[in-house]
Amino acid sequence: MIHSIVEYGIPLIILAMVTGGFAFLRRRDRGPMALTGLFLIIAFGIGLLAFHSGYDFVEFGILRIDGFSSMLLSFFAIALLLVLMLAKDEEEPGLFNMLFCLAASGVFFVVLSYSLLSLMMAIELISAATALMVLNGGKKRIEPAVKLFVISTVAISVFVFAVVMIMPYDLSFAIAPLQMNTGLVGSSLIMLAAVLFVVALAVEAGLFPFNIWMADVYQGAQGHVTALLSGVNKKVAFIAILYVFFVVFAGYTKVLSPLFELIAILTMFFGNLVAMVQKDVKRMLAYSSISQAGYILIGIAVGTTLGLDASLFQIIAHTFMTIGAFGIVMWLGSRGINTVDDYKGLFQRNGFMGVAFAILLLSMAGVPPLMGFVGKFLLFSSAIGSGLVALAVIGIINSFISIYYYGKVIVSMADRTEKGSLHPSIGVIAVTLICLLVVLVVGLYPQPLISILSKSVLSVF
Amino acid sequence: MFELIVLAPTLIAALFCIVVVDKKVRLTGYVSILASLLTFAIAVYLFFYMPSSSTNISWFSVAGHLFSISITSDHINMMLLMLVAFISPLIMIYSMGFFDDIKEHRRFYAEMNLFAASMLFFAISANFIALIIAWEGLGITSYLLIGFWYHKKDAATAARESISIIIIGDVAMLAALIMLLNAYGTTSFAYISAQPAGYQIYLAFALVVLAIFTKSAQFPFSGWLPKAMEGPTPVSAFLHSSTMVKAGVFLAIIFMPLLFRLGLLPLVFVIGAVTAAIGVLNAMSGSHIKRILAYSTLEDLGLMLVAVGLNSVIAAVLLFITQTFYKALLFLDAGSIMKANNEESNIFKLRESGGNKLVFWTAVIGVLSIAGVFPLSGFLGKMGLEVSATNIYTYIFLVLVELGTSFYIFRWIFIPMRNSERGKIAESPSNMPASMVVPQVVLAFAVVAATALYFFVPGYLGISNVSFGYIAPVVETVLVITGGGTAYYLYKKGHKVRINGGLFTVVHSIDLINAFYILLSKFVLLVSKVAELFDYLIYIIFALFGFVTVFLGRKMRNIVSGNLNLYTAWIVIGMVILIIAMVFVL
Repeated sequence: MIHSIVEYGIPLIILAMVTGGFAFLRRRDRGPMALTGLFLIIAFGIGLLAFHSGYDFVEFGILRIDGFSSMLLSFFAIALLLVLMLAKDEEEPGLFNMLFCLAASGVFFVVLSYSLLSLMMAIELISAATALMVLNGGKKRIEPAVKLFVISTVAISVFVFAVVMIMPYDLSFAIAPLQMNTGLVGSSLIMLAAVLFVVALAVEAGLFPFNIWMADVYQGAQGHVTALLSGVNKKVAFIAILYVFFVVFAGYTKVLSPLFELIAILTMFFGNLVAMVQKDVKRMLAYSSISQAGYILIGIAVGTTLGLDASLFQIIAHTFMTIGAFGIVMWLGSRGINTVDDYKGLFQRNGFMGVAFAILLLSMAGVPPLMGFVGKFLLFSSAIGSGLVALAVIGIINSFISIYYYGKVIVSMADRTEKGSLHPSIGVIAVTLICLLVVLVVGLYPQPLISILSKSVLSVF
Repeated sequence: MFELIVLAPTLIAALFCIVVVDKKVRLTGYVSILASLLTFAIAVYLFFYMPSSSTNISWFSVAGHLFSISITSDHINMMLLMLVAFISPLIMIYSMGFFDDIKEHRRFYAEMNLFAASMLFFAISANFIALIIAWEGLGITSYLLIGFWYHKKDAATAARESISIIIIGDVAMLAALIMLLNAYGTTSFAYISAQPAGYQIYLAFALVVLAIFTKSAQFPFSGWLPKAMEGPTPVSAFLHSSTMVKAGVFLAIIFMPLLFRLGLLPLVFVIGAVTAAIGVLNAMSGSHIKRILAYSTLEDLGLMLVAVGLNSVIAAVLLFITQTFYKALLFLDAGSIMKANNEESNIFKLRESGGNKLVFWTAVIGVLSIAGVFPLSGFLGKMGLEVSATNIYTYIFLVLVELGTSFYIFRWIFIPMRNSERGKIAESPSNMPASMVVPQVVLAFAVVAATALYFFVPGYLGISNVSFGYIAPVVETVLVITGGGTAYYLYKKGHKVRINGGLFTVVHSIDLINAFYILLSKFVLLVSKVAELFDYLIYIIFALFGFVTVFLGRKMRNIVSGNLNLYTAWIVIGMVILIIAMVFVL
């Protein structure tokens, strides 16, 4: 019974997501959005079910259902649901919903994919849909949309090149360890393929120097789209990195580790240093999200099971923090409050949202007992445990720098200036409350999540 | 595991108070009362139906050390839980009437709920990690509550003083926790209690005893308790009866056998006795209606530690329970009397009850109980202590303290009575809301009914009971009559107005303790002068660090030019660099 629910349910959900595109026919109807939400809740349930039943099988040769992917299915369903709640007040909900459905099906496909080809298609699906989403909502959105579109086109073409280059080694394109069945070609081609994979996925995941476009797009897009970009798209790219480098290139992890180390260090410094001098909060958070990508990469560079646990934990933590924070920024942005100076007196104007924003920022900075602290703690301790002390120290220096710009916003919010009080919409309140609860509860009691993650990591890697 | 549910109502209520919008502030009080009643119901269930057990919840693990939170439903823990859960609804209801300014409700109830939750968590904690969470929670929330009227300078100072002293104990407790974790790999109370004496455990428990002294306001850390009277009266009632200061004593009771084996009990005894003496002497000469009661609390806490020092569980427990009821009652009475007299706090200036007979008679019950008149519960505590005195000097000391107690507490009630009769203050009595009177009446009944506990407590806790014999009650009655009679003669009849000079002045100004603190602070200042030199160095390093990072940030920012062509170029450059790097790696 449960097996057939999982077996038929997962493809059906993806199918339902794709057909959700027909909501386009009624651009201004909010109904389809509710339906999408329902589908996401069902996806969450099925993922949970599959995780608890411990299934491990491949469907149609492209969908892989195991502990890892079903856990991620549930997680991304929640993340997408949060973004959908933020997008409630979208001007053309039908249109948005269509693009959102396409992106969501792409996300599920990446998470579940068992083939490099389906992975490529899914990433392309997400990028295309997101670029159109950025376009949605006014003329000034054209520039960021075009930037995102061009950059993701470059990324996907590099990805195609990379996929092509492993053809001589393994024709199945399966996301399984490479079968080195030909002695015809040396190992140089496969290393080139690995580097091209790094480049393609680094563009999506926002790693230096492939992330210069990011702040422009994040700032230019509408708030909920930025939340989607930062909370889902980027995290999906990390999942793809895990699949490619820890399953397909499982034999080369040690060789590639210095590469990731270098990129992690550069990304952290770039994100944090540039964030320091930003005045616009949304742009600052975009750079902060870049630096978080650097932290996540630490666990990948470490490459041990503990490192992957830590990376996954930080991925989940940052998703909740970033969606909550961009939700608040979106709401304030719609009231014309953008720069750090504009944030003055937020604690007075809306105490709950102010405190929530402060807690989310502190969590990003890694202050105990919040979720972000646990993630960073796991990351740095995994690095130290594997002898990468320098990497951990650089990570700690970077968290130190980051306190400066997070603190700047909090100090500004605490400023006493008498202005009228502000009231957010119910969607923003709900998202903030959920993110806040997750950050606080998991921060205080992380053990259950950590054990779920290590269980799921062990099922794949 | 089920014990944790007892925390839920107060925590949810606290959250509600924090997020509720201004328009619905009136709801906070009702929600808090509901939550505390729910807590009481859960506590009753746990008290009667929960089998004695303990649960370990693993919290997180670092480098092979597992940090876990242990909670327990041992009978003695359930007893404390019950006391807290019984007092808190009464205090919550009382506060509804006490706070005239509705704007204060929200903050007050939020802090009060957190305070109650900390104490409830303390009551069920069974290892040092759980303990220190509750311990810190109590410290922070008590700071907030004592300084509730922070716009008053005295309140802010009192709050700061209390937290400054309590933090000493917190640090000691943390150090003890680390030592025990290091030595045994676990901090479970049950495990540690069973350990043989050794230098590590001795040192750790010396620190725990220090923490107990700060929390329970023992000499020389007693200064903050009387000053904490600057907080609202419901807070005082809660803080002095069942929470906060009782936490230290409770810990001492739990660890009594271990402290005995480590030979720390004489220290506990001496400090307790000194504190009790300070408390009694100050209470005899005080004139602030609440501060007299605060000194009386010092005395009670001191006596409880004396009972612990005498290694008499039953005496400590009986005193512990009975003190909860009469002290809560007396504080609520004091609050009502002050409210009826336009917040006048000098006993020489106020009237007994502002005309409300219920307030007066409940106060009388409280007074009789604390003095130790026979059928009331306070009698049990005094008796238990007196019969456990091991030698004649202890006995004489206890007799003197008894005498002082009945003297100051009758003085406390007689002076306002005299004022009423002479009609000194002509102001019309203000109306007493029912929400303030009802908790007092309930507590008065509890004070009377608690006498029955003598028959149940030993069986419930599984400890041997004491028999009081015939002589001790007679002595006790004589003491009460002597003390009360003296007070009657001096104050009710008006033969003497106040006691001046001599010993009272010395103790009242507590110069000795202040001198101790001044010496301590001078030493600390000396150390900090040296440390200041390092401070400059650190400042320079940080300033440099900040300068460099901001400079780098400014430069790096230029990479992001907004030009799409350049962005693509960066990707290509990055790709080429990576490929070259890969060639060199291979």
